[in-house]
Amino acid sequence: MWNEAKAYIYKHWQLNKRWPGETANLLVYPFIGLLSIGLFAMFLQNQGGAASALLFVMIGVVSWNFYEHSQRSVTYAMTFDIWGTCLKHGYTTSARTRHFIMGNAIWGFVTSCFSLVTVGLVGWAAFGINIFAGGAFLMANMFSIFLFALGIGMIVDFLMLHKGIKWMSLIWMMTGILMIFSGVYYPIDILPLPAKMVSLALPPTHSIISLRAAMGLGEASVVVPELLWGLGLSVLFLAMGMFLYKAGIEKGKKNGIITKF
Amino acid sequence: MALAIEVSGLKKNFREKGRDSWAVRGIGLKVKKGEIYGFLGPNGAGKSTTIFMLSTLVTPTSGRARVLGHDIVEEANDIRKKMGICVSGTQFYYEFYPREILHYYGMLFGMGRKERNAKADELMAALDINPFKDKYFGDLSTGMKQKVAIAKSLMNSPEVLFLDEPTAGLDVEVARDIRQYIADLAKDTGMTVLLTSHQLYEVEEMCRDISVINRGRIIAEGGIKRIRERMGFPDVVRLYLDKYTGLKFLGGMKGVLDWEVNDGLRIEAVSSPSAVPEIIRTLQKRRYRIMDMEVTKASLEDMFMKIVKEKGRRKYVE
Repeated sequence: MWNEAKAYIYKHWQLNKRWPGETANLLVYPFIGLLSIGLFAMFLQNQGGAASALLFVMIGVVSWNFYEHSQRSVTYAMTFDIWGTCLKHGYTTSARTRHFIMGNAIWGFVTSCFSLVTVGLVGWAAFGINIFAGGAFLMANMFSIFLFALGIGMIVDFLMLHKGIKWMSLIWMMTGILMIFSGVYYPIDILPLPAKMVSLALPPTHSIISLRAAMGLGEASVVVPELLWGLGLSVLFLAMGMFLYKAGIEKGKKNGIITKF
Repeated sequence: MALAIEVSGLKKNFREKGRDSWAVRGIGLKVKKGEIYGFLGPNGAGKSTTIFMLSTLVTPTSGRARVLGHDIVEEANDIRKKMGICVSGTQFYYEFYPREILHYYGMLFGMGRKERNAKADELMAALDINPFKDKYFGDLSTGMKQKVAIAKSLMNSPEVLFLDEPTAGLDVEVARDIRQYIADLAKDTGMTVLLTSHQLYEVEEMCRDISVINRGRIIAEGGIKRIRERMGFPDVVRLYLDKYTGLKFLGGMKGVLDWEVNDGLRIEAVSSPSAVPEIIRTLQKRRYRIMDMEVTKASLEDMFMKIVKEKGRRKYVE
């Protein structure tokens, strides 16, 4: 069981070492996001905006950065194989879906945590915001976001296996679309009602609200309920992702897409 | 003898935009354990689709197939544990060293570190990969890449190996090395090999039995020798005699299709085990001295061309 799962971690590790773009994903882009959004929030604060704006935005940035890393661990596991035209080889081994999920989840969680720590430290140093003050609520909410990201990653994999690589751009597009609804840079109350309904169906919305509340940006009474809502929804998305991923493999074997790469 | 691969009525329809697109139209196949079996056909005949179905990469539309006794749909994972597959032009991550590729796929087969190291060492030595072990896969030549692909397909010591044009595009020397290694390995370990190739001499050299597929249907099947006989291709015998007079009796001989004196005596004889020996015995009885002789049998290429041109109107099945 472990060796098969380890293979996926090994692949990520080797490719991250050797693809500068991958290293940048881990080390450069998060800071670009953090610094640009952080500076923008600082600017607004200096223009008379709320003093809490910077903390509000920082929590969103850190959470979303965690989401992006986690999702990529699953979707890139497949796109690496598509880019390398070696997707088919993985499906001729005895590794199964559970190994794929386990290996990529471990990689995703470790890299996301690494990114969380580095981004948190830089944010602390640059803006004086200590995200780690969230303590156990920080980790619990990040874990919820992580489960959701795995589910979404597998749904994107499903679409690529089902419809072909023209759906590959969903990897990046999905992140942007979900971000609009997840209240990363603004409270979801400002969204029109239909969009707000979508927001409430997404786990990161609840996780981010919970974390903000835990860090003093909201009522303390919502911290646990929102955390639990987020976790519950994340488990549902994860289950849906796993189901669809398996269905995607079956579809990929029916339509022959797996053999093309 | 036990069968390693058993296929009956296997079909595959890649339905696209509401239109049927049959790649395989109901084929049967029986491959004995330990055999190197040739699976031939022109481009688009259905060879690769068949191999992908047998290696559990493509789900059949209908029909049944068992590999090492396991159903290709219901027991796919049992098959994957015991099989290897290598296709032409195989690619991997360009930034991996050959050893890393072997380790990665070894891990996917659940092999532990010691086992992986031992197997990778063995395969890299046997396939002469060591001289380029410090190059990234992307920097290797086509032949070297294919050697790595073969090694990868053997990492789990498979009982069945699917080779889809494994030597396509390779130079003569590398192709010969790969052929030799596979043939030796099959002999030593009892591994079954299903081989497709456009290099027909390669198939003739490695396989005793073949199937020919065209337009998704098997149109010839059996031993190469028996198919040659059934197809009626003549054996061409060239005899160098001490004299060339009084040979008209040849025209009435059973098994002689045609004859002429032109650079020795050229006889087209029915391809059968008895025809040529009978001609020689008759000539000797009539006191002709045979100074030298050559027998040329129809090549697999000749047979293949004829089979494919007939487009399945005739079947050559044992």
